[in-house]
Amino acid sequence: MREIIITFDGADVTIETKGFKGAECQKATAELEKALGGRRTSETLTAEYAKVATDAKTKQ
Amino acid sequence: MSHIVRQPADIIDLDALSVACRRRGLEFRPNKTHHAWWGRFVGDSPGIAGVDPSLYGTCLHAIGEKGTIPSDGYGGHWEIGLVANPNGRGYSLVFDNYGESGRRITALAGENLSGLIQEYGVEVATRKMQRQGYRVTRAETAGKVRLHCYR
Repeated sequence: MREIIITFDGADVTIETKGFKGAECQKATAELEKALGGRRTSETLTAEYAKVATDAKTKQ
Repeated sequence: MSHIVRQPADIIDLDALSVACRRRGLEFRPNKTHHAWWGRFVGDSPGIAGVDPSLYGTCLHAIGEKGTIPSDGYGGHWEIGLVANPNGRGYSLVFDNYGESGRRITALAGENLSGLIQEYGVEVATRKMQRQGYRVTRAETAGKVRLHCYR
């Protein structure tokens, strides 16, 4: 399952993604960030993102 | 007695803003070109940078307390104005936060309009995620709103 958790605290917005692989999460949230006027204050990358990034580095 | 300020908000979706207004006890007043405020700038606050004070009170749309008749000056039902965003995209919000009239707006829209801006963001995000096929649930804790989107 893919999850996106968006937390609004006044004018600040935090986006957290789970269950995405690699940079998919950033693609998934790009349109959302644009619609919100670029008010995102932080992003939590998934464990899957870190794993894919590490795997890619290991293969080099 | 005129403390007019501009809040950076990047309002783009007026339909979502209208929904956000209803949730906060406000009403969106489309194409209203004057928002009620103190009525004249008396120089007792910084005002809005880059805007001639003679233009204060002019807007493209307005937001007011639901069911009220707006009027300038002391004790009036003042409004929030939507003006062209100086950054070139959508609208930003202006209002006069002075005195009892300003406090009535703050009570509904939140300090510096943060509650209204938050509710607008929640509505925009909910629509966007639902269009992408996500199920969206909403939870509120201590003034924060959390959208859990999944598919």
